[in-house]
Amino acid sequence: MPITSRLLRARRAAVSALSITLLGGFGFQAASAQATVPVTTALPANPAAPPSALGPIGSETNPAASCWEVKQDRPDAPSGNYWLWTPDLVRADQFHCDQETDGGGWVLIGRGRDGWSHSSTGQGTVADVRDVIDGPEAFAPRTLPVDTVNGLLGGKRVDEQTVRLRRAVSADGSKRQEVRFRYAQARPGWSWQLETDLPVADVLFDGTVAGSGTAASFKASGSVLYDVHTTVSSTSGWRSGWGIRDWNNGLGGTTSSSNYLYKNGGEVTRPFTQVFLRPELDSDDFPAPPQDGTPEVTGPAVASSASKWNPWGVTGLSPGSDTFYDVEVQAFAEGDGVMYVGGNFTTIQRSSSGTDTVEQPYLAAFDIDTGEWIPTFRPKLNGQVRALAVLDDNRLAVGGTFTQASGMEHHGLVVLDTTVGQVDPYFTTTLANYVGGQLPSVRSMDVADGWLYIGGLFTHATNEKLPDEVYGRNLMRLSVADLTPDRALGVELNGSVWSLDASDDGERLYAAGMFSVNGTESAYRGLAIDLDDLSQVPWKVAFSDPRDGNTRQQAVVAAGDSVWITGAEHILSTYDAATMELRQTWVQQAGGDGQTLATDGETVYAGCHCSENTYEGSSSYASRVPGTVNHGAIEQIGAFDNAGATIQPAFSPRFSTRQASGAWESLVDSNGTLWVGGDLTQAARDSLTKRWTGGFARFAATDTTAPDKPADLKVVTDGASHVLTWSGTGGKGVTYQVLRNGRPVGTAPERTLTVPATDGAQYVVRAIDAADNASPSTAVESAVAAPVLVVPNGAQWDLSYGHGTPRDWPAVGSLDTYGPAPLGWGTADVATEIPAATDGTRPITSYYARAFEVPDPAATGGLEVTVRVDDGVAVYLNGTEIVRENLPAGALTENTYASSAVSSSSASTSTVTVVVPRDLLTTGTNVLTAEAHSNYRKTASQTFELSAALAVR
Amino acid sequence: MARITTRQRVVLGATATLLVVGTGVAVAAAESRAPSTLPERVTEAPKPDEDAGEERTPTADPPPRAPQRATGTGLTAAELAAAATKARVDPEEVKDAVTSVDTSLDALFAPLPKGKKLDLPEVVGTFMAEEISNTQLERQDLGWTVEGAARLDGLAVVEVDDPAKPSSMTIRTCVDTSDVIVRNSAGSDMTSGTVTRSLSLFDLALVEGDWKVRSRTFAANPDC
Repeated sequence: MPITSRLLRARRAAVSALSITLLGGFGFQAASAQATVPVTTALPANPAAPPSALGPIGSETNPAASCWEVKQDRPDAPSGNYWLWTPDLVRADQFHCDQETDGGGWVLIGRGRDGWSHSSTGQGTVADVRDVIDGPEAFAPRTLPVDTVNGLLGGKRVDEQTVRLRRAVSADGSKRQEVRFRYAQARPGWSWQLETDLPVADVLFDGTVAGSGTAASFKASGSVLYDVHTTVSSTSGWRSGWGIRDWNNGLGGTTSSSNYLYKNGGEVTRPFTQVFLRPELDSDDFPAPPQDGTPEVTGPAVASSASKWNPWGVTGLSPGSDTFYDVEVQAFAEGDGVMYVGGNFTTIQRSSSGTDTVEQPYLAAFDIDTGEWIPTFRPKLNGQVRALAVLDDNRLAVGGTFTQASGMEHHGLVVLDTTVGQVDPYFTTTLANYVGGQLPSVRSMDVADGWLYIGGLFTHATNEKLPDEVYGRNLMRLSVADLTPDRALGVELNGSVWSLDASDDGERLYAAGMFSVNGTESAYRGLAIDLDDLSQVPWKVAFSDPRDGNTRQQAVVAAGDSVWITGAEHILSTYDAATMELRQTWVQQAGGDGQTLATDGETVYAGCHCSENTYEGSSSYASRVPGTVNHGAIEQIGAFDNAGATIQPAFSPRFSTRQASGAWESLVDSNGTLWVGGDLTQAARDSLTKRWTGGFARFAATDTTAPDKPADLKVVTDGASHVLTWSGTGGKGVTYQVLRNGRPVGTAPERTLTVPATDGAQYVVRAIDAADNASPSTAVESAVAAPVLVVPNGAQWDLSYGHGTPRDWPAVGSLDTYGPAPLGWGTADVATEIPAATDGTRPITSYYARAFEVPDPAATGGLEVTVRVDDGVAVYLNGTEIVRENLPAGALTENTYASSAVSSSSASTSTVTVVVPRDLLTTGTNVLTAEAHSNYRKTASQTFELSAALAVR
Repeated sequence: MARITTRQRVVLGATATLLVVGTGVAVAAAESRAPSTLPERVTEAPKPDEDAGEERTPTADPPPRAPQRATGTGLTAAELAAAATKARVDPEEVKDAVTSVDTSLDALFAPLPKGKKLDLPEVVGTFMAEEISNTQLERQDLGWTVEGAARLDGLAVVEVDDPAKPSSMTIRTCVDTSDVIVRNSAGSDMTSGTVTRSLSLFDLALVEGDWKVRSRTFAANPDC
C-alpha cells in the first residue's frame, strides 16, 4: 500500500469533517527562522484560573442574573450599572441597580415625570434608562421595552413581583416617597398600561401604611400623599403617570421644567417617579446548555411597532358624511405590486400641510413597496368606497355607497380596470335593495375559488346574462369571470353585513354584521357557511353585554384553523373552526368596539377605536376583571397569536387620530407589511416620536429569521486563556455570543474570542442579529490543549535548485542554501526569490528541507501539514512521501512537469492539508522535504510554503 | 310606554265591497288553530296571477315626498275586498292582516332617536321583529334618522291555510317607500335614487286573535 493512501488527506473543503485542528488565529508566535526549532510543550503552562477570573459578578464578562444576585455575591457592591443577563434577554446589557434601598437588588425599569407611554416598545433606549436616572434631565419618561423587562424577570410572573415606586413629593425633589405594591391578577408579563381595572395587593406607603385599590387608583388613609392615581382623563390633562390626587394643589406642582411635581390644572399631580423590580434570580438557576447546544431564539412574528415612512397619504372627508363611521380609509386590496386604498377621503397629498395636493376622492393606488402614489390610476366615483377586491391583474371590484362610476349609474358595486380606473366595459351587474329606504351598498368583499363574495345592504342582483334578478339578502356571490350573481348560495340575512371572509382553504365563508337570522336559521351577528355544500354551520357568537341588542359585529377573519370576530360591545373573540367552540375572548377599553381584522395566518391583527386596555379572558364589558387572565395595552390595533389565542404585546403601535374613530381596515400584504387604515393622522416613527400619516400607516414585518448557526467551534488553551474559534456566515449586524456554562462571557463581531481560562468551562457560540434573533448554538465544546506549531508559515527552509535532484533525495537533512518562505518566484508574497537565469529561464523543479524536533511522538495526534500547491508539489517526512499534488504518478525528476498550471493570483490559496499518522514521526529530529514543479518552463510562478503542527492527541 | 295596537293605529275603509274572483290562491291545508311552531317560511312566492285582481289601483298623482308620518296603508277598501274575495277569506281577517303588515312597516321606518328604547308593536312576529330591530338599532347607532312611512299598493292573499278559518296566510303587496327619507348623521339623504317599490311577501300567523307578521320577503320578480 502506498504510504500516501494511509494519510488522512483532505482538501480545505473537507477540513471540518475530519476535525483537523485549525492553526490560524491562536496567537502563537512564528518560530524563529532556523532550520531546526525547539518544540514547545503542549501541556498548559499554568493551571486554569477560577471563574472569578472572568471578572466580578455583574461585569461584561461575568453578567449576573439580577441586581439581587450581584448584591448577594457582593454585599458591598454600590448602586450603579451592572451587566445582567437571563436566557430570556438574549443579549447581556447594563442596567441600573439600586443596591442600597431595603436590602438592595432593585433594577430600574423606568423613570420620568409625566407623559408615560403604554407602548410595549418602552420609551427611549436601555442606556437612557440606566444613565440618566434622576433630576430634571430625567423628567421625560424613559422606560425599558416590555420584552426587556420580561427578560429581566427570567420567566417569573409580574404578578408575583413587588413593584417599587420612588416618587418625589416635593417640588425640588428633596423629599421622596417609597411605594410598594403588587399587581394581583392577570399580569404574566409586564405592561406599561398603568391604568387598569385589575386589583393591586400588598400596597405599602413609606414601608408602613397599607393601602388597596386597583392599578388605576390605589391609596391609603392618613395622607394625601398615600395615593397612586394612574387614570388618564381630563383631570390629568390627558397625561399618564404615577399621579397623586391633589385637589388643593398643596404639593406645589407646576408645569415648570425644573419642578419634580408636574401639574397642569385638574386634580392630579404627576411626581417624578422611578420604577423598580427585584426579581431574585441566581445564575445557577439557569440550566446549562444541552450537549447539542441551545435552540434558535426568534422574536414573535408580528409587525414592527414603528411605522414605515409614507411618501403620500389621504385626507379630507366628503361633504355630508358621518365623521365617525365614514372615515378616510376603509378598504385595502393588493394586486400586482399595487395597494388600492379606498375610503371617504377627498384628496391625496405628501404632508400634513398639503404638499402636492391632488383631488382624488374615494379611491387611489400606491406602490406596495415604496408607498408612492400611482398617478395613472384615476377612478371617478361619487361616493365612499368600503370594500375592494382584486379580481385579476386587470380588474378591481369596488364596493361602497356610491351611485356613479366614470359618470355612469352603478349603485354600490362596480368593476374598474386597474390601469386607469375606468369602469370595465364588460361589467353589467346591478345591485338593488328592495327593502326600501336605503341605497344598496357593499361593505365587504373577498375572492375565493372563482367567486366574488359581497356583503352589505342589498337584496337582489342581476346582469345582462340573467332573465331576472337573483335574490340574496345582504350577502351574495358573483362569478369572478363575468360578475354573474349566483342563485345557489341562498343566504338571506335579516340585517346588514359589515364584514365577510372566505377561508384560505376555500372551505368556509364567514360573515359578521347586524343580522340575526339567515332565512329561518339563527345567525346572530355571525354566520358560517360550509362552501362545499353551502349549508350553514351553527355558530354562537359571544357578546360582552347580551342585554344590549346593538351587538353588531363589524369584522371577521378566518385564520388557519380558527375564526376571529369582533365588534360591539368592545369584544374580540376567536373560535375553533372545526367545532365553532369559543377559544378566547378579549374586552377592549377605553373605547373598544372592534372594527377590523387581518391575519397573515400566524398573527391576527384586531383594530378598534380603542386606546388603552385589552383584557384577555374577560367577556363582560360591564365587569372586565372577572375571568381576565392576561392584560396588555392596545391603541387602535393590536396583535394576537392565532395558535395560542393570546396577546402579542410586541406589536404596540401608537397613533394620533382625527376623531378617535380608530382603525377600520387592515391588511397584511405580500411583503408581510401590515397596512392599517382609519382616521389616522400620525403614527409612531420610533419609541419616542410620531410623524404624519394620511389615513393609513404601514408597519413592516419584523425580522424573525435567525442568522446562520456557527460551526466548527474549537476551544484551545494555552493555560492562561481559552481561545475560541468558529466558522460562520456572519451577515449585516451579526455578532457572535459566547456562552460559558450557559452564561455569556463575551461577544465578538469576528469569529474568535479569547477569554480567561477557567476550570470546567464548557462553551457554545451562537450568532445574534440586530433584531436579537439568535441562531441555534454550536454543540458544547470544552477546551483542549493547543496544537504545537513545529513549522510555521514563513519559516526558514534549506533550498536547492538548478543542480539536479539532490543526492539521497528525499531523505536529506540539509540543502545548498536557505531562506524564509514563501520561496520561489511570481507571487507578491515571495520572501526568498529563485532568480531567473540569464536566458530568462527558471528551474522546473526546486527542492526544500527543514528539520524539527518531536520529544514524544506517542503523545501527539500526528503531524498536520499544510502545503502550497504551485504548480505541483510533493512532500516527504523523514523520506516518506506524504503529499503528491498536481504531479504525475511515478518517479519524479528535476524535469518532471506539474500536471496543470496554477495561476500566480491563486497560488497563495491553493493549499492541501494532510494529517500524518504519528508512527511516521521519530523521537528527536524529524525532517520535512519537498519539491515544487512548474507546469511549463516559463511558468509565471512557482512558490513553496508549508506549515506543520503536532496535533493534540 | 304602552304598546300601540294595530287596530288603534290603522284606519281602513269601512265600507269595502268584497268580491270573490279568481282562483289563483294557493290554499294550504286547513288547520283549526295557529301552529305552535313557526311553519316553513315562504321565501319566494309564485309570480302574481295576472287576473288575480291584486294590481294596484291607479292613483291620480303620486304623493309628494313628505316628511310627515303616513297614517294609512295606502290600500283602498276595494283592493282589500278584492283580495279577500279572491282568497275566499273573511274580509275582516284580510283587513286585520294588512293592518298588521302596515304596522310592521311603520315600525321599520319609525324614528328612533338616540337614547330611545326600541318598542315593537305586538303584531310583529319573531322574524319580522328581528329584522326591524336590527335595522332600527343600527340606524340609531349610526345616528341616522328616518322620516315618512311606507304605503301599500296592490294586494293579494297568495297563501292561506284555511280560508274559512285562517290561522296563517301570506300576503303579497307592493311596498312603496317613496315617502320614506333616511338621513345619515350629517343630514344627507341616503335614499335618493334607491328602489322605492318592491313586491313583497308577508308571512302572517293568527296568534291569540292578532295577525302577527312573522317575516317579510320578496316576490320572484320584486318590481312593481
